[in-house]
This record gives sequence, C-alpha cells and structure tokens, in this order.
Amino acid sequence: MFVFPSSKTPVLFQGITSETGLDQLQKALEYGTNVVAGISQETHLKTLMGIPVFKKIKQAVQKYHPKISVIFSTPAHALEDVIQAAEVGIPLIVCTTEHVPMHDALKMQMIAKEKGVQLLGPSSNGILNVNQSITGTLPTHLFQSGDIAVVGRSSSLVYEAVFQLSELGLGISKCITLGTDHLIGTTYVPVIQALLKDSNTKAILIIGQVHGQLEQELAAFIKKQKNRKKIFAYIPGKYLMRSDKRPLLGMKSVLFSDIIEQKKQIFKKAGIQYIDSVDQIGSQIFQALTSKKGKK
Amino acid sequence: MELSEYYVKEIFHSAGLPVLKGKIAYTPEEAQKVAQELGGDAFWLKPQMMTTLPIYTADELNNKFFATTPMEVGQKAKIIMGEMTNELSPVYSSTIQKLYIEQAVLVDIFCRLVFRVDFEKFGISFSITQDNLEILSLPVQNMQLDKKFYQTVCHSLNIKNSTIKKEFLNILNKSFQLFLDYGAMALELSPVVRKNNTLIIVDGRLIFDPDSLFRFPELEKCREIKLGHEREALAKKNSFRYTGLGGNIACLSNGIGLGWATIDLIQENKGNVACLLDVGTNPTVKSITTALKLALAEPNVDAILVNIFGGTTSCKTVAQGLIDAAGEISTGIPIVVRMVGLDAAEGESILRKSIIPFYCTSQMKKAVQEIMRQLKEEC
Repeated sequence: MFVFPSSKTPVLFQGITSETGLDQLQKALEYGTNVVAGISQETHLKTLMGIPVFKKIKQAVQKYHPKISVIFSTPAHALEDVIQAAEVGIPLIVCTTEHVPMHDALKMQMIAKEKGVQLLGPSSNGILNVNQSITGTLPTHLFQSGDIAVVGRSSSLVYEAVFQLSELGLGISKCITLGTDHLIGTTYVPVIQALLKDSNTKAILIIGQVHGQLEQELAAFIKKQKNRKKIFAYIPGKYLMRSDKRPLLGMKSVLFSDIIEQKKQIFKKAGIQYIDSVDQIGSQIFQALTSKKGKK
Repeated sequence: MELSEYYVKEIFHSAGLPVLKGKIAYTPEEAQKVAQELGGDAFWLKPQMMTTLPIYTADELNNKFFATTPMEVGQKAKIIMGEMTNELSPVYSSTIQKLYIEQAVLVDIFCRLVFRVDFEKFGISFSITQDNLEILSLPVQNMQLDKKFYQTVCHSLNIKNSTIKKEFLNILNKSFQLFLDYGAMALELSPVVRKNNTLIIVDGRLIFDPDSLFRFPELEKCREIKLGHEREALAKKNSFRYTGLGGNIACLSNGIGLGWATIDLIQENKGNVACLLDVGTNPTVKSITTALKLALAEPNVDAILVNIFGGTTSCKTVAQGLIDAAGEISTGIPIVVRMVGLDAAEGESILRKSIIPFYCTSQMKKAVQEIMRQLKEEC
C-alpha cells in the first residue's frame, strides 16, 4: 500500500551530509516537512539545522519511528542504505541517487520485495505533497496548489507539464516521480491506486516512458477500476528509434513510434486520454477538465 | 561499455573459463611472430575493432580467419589488414589495426550462451541459442543459479556425455560468477565449441554497466572508443549525452524526457533533428559550453534549438555556458533559446546583452516555429 506523506509524517534523511542531502534538508524544513532525523557516517555533529543526526539507523528508528526514508547517498552507498532502511522496516523508501549500478538496483528490488516495503527509485526525484511535505528533490517553487496529480518517470518533463498547467491556472495536489532508470522499484500501479482514493486529487497526469511494460500493467489495472478520475497520459520519443544491430541485450530493432502507438491504444482502451503533443499537455487537460465542469 | 575481444579473453582466462591461447599483433610481421610463439598447427586471425561487429560465423572461423602455419598467418594478416576494408564494407568501417592471433580449433558450434540484465522483467535473464535459434530463455531467480535452473538448462541441451555435462556446468557457474562480479549488463559466450571431449569458448563479450565502472578502475586502461562514437565519448567525458540523429537541427536540452519531447515537437513541425545533447538536470557552465561547441562544429547542423527547463537547473548557468561557446566559435548559425523556470529572467537578460543574436522565448512551440522560420529564410 502506497501512502503519501503529509506534513505530520515523520521523515528520515539517509546521506544527510551529502551535498544534495544538506541542500534538500534546508528546502524540506522550509516547506514544512517533518524531518525527524538524519543518518550519516561522515560527521561528528549531533545535529544539523536542528535535526538530530545518527550514525546507526536503528537508534533513529527506535526514537523517532520514521515512516519514510529519503536516500541522498552516492551510487556506491545507495544499496547499503536501502538495505538498512528495508531491514528496520521503514514502509516507504525514496532513493534519489542517480547512476546506481544495475545489479545494485536489482538487489534493492529484491530486498524491498522480501521486506514488503515500497521502494521509489532509484533515480526518483521523490514525492511532493503540495503545501505539506517534500521528500525528494522536486523543485517546490514550480508547484501551485490544486487538484491534479502528476506521476512520471522523467523529472524534466514532469516540470514542463506542471509549468504548462500552472500557466493555465491549474494547480497540483501531488507529484510523484518513479525514476528514469530502467530498473525501478515502485511502479505506477500502487501510486495510481492511492491517488484514485485521494480526496484532494481530481485528475491524474501520467508521463510515461517508451521502454518497458509498466504502462501496459497500469492500463490493465485502470481498466478494472470503477468510479475513476480523469486520467491523462503523454509519452515522449515517438520520433526516435532503436537500431541495435545485435539483439544481444534482448532488444529487437523497433521504432519507438510503434511502441508509443501501441501504448497509446492500450491507454485509450482503458479510458485514459492520450495527449499527442508535448506542447498540448496543459491545454488539453484544461479543456477536458473545464468542459466537464461546464456540463455539470 | 565493451572491451575488445583480447581483453575479454584475458578476463575469461583469469576466471578459469576455457579459452585458447592468443596474443595481439599490430603488423603482419608481428602476427607471424606471435603465431610462431603460440605454436600449434592452426591459428585464427581475428580483427579487433570497436564496432558493433557481428558474431563470427563458423565459416569465418573455419576459412576466412583461419591459417595453418605462421607463414600463412603472416600472409593472411597482410590481406586482412590491408584489403578487408573494401571487401567487407560497410560492416568494417575503418582499416584494421589490430589482429588477435589465437590458437584455433575446427569449429563445431555447440551453443551460444547469454546472461543479461532484463529491463522488461526487472531481473536477470539467461538464454541459449543453437543454430541461430533460441532454444531456451529463462529468468535467473534471486540472482542465483539453483538446482532447477541447472536441470532445465541441461535438459534443453540434451547433454548425455557426463564429461561434457560437467564442463558445461563449470562454464555456466564461472561465467555467471563473472557476470555478477563485474555487475555486467550482459555476458555472452558465443560460440562455445566442442573439441573431442572438451568445450572451448571461441568468442565472448562482456558488456559493462557504465554506472558500475567506478568499482573497476583497472578497466579504464582497456577502454577504447568505438569507431564512429567519438562524439558520444566526448559527451560522456563532459557529463552530457550525445545522440546522433542525422538531420540538420541540433537540440540541446536538460533531461532526457524533455529532450525527446522537444525532438517530437521539432519533427511534428517538419523539422529534422541532427542530434540531441542532453546536459542533464544539473549541468555546469563547462558542460553546456562543450555541448554547444560540439553542435556548432557539426557540418550538417544548420540551426540550434536550446530548450531548458529550470527545475533544478539554473537558467543563468545555461546562459553563461551558451555565451562562452558561441563566443568561441562564431558560425552565424541561428540559435533559438527557450528557457523557463529557475532564474529564467536573469538568464534571458545575460543572452540579450551578448553580441550574439540569440532568439529567446519562453514558449516551446514558439521556439520550434522560430527555428523553422529561420531555416526557411536561409534557403
């Protein structure tokens, strides 16, 4: 079960003394995030910006019972930190580390599955619950409060979509980035499931990816749901193509446009409105949401 | 990242995998000498080039790259290193400068084996190919080879000879361990051949995960730039990504998703993208400068579109990088810049103050339309 952090949810920062960790700690505190403790092996400081710092995760967990851990470690340490967080049973782990080795990412998924915890990422920019809490590296300055949730793989395109929406006066309820890496933990389904139940979210935008089968999995899930909210989707890359001469990596030579067309049709069948062009993300959602209101 | 065959063979040899003796040669004379040193009555002369070469066929191994005496090795080396470029073009895109001289056996292909990271199934997959047909493909559960795995594999190959079976399992275990040890994206043994009652790995590839290379600094000295991939290598060195696409509009963007979406928009407006330069979400002035300079230096680039979304990227940094590059290489190529988000106003003001006529806008569509207009005007 995926639970969005509120302003009360206790949050742990692992790798708190890294450059990103420190930077994000300040931003998170300013935003009102309930950061309760940090973990770092590299400091003798007992506190940072008023937040207690521990060397061992167990001590922090016993005292503060965090429900989310956000990992800002280097690629070399990310796996170890995910293992530690999973072993103490923190239910949601957000791994923001980019360039995590693939085998490490596979091991992260294995441990998350074994311990029954959600692992967002690696390479996730985290979760933003607008005006409540920021657990990750999403730039809060872009987000106005509203009732559209944005879920995406690519962070840059998520920002673009949010920008287009806010230009038209549409705000965001929650933003979740799953990560751009091939091998990620949490997929769309648990996140969308939670968003469908979220009373602050009226519509959902999905920024998908050409690679993989996660969009198909999502469409199959959505099809089964009743009382759905309006869902939109866009996938970039239809003019690119994959041209591997050797099928060694298990990839066949295929046109991205074919994959995207396939995903588009599957989305459509599941009742998801597909947006064809990146510059129309904002306007098409605006149109769909306002004309719906008009009918009522 | 991939290594040339002769490096991979060295790694295979140290891992205890059955490979034949071999040595690299840079001239036909050297090739002959190497063959003499190796000894034996059969040799292969394998071209070592960093291209996406097809796997050797049995015919190539038994005829084209095959010699029986050191003298023949020298003669064939002359032909391969001199004339092969034309003969096998376009597969071989440059002259051959290195030959791996290896003791040879008559090739009776047993099978090809591949372990790889499976992006669709989020795990490790293993497959066996015989006579160009995939006869088995199965996941490696929990990143471990278990009893059931061995049984399935041996059953699919129908191995009856107990010595061969033992050798095969040995190859399977050692190669999988190697795959794990290097955190590799893929490990390919192809082909594995049978010689009397033993198995030999004739060729193999080890594809490294670029993100795990920090654990293996010793591989750095073996790194070669793939032919035709010099731009990609320069980009990687400067922390951005280069993708060549063949058109005439270069696209510089931050973040792969935004980059791809920008390409889509350019193509939708009847433009043709030359390359994508993705500077990522935390670019430096230097990476921007190097990226733009790369685009400016491409002969087929007639216009450049910069699409930057300032989420975590500061548009000031981007503007400075663009000015540095355009100031150094003045080509008169139109550069259209779309910047929004963090420090966008400051970034735009930096660009407007410069003597280079950047066209600035905050609208993505407008930027694409402007670039198409300027290209039309040029014609």
